[in-house]
Amino acid sequence: MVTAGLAGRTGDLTGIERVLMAAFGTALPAHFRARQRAEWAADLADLAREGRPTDRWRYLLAAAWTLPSLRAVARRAQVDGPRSVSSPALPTTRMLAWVVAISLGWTVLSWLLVMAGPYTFEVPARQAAGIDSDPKTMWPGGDPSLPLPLRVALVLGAYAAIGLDPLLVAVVCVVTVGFLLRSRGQAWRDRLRTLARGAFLGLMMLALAAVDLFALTMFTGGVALSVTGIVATGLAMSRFGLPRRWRVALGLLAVAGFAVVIIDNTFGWAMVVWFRD
Amino acid sequence: MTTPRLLVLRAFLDDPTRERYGLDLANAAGLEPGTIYPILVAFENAGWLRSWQEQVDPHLEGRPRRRYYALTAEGASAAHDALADNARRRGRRANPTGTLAW
Repeated sequence: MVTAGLAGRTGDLTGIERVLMAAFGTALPAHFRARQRAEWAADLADLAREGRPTDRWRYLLAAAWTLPSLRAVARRAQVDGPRSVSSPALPTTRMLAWVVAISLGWTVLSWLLVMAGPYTFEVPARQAAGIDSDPKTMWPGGDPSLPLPLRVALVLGAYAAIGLDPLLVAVVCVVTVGFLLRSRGQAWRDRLRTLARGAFLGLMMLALAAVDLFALTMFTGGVALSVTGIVATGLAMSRFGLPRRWRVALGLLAVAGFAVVIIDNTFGWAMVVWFRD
Repeated sequence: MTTPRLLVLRAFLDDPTRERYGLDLANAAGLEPGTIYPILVAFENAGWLRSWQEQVDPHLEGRPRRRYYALTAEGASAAHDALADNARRRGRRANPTGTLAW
């Protein structure tokens, strides 16, 4: 027995699984913990008998991912007994897929247009002709015929691609909050709370990004981009209800994101230096 | 209503008399095991499901007790309505096979 509330034998479970179940349980309302730990224990024991350890880890990851939703419905049940099955505004898989796709897509596309493209096709010709090859003078970042917001978005996306991680995190925050605010059926108080949390986190990250951008002190080589790529890979390979076309698109974006990180940190380092300088 | 919720309702309606437990239901619905409990609790809160813990001796059975779920009459009706509504909105457009469109 892990706890008195486990309501059954848990001898098939490993120590780490018991610890994780106990930890997950602490996130739930007290009256609900024993019931849910029993559910998890029974499921993990079933999976243990099938003898596939990776399935148990997937199960635990999935349980952790849905813990906020579970906490919300369990808490609502305790407080006022909801009569509706509409979801509270919590991240869904589809929402996560959108956030990852937008963040990765923006970063990779910006990197291609602002860095890889000009550096490969334009810089050699300019150097041969003795013309200034400053990225600020090249298309698209230096093309005044393009709208300024678009140019700024592309240049910042390229910075996010080379390791300005707070910027990528800020964009993830902003996009996530945007999707959360779009969810219908929420109270205004909940919307304001979501907005306040997102604004706080997003502004913190933007401030960090601004410091990084000018001080060039905290470029990580693409940790945030790698993590986003890992999340995209997880979504592409999982059974979270995403249709095939979505999983394929996320898989391609993940590969592109990893490729950007690898190129930036290997043979593309000269390009990164050119862009940063 | 989200697609996972519709998939769970469909799994229940595929065999309305069958009592199911969480992992079994997640597999039947095609969901990632471990993600189904928020859905089940929300449905139960709404009165669409009832649940109970099986009365077995875990030591004799060699496994923990399971919690089983079944549709209530209200839940069955609501599930039919939700799936029909979804089919009306999406089915013909993208899914001639009758399975859920995402």
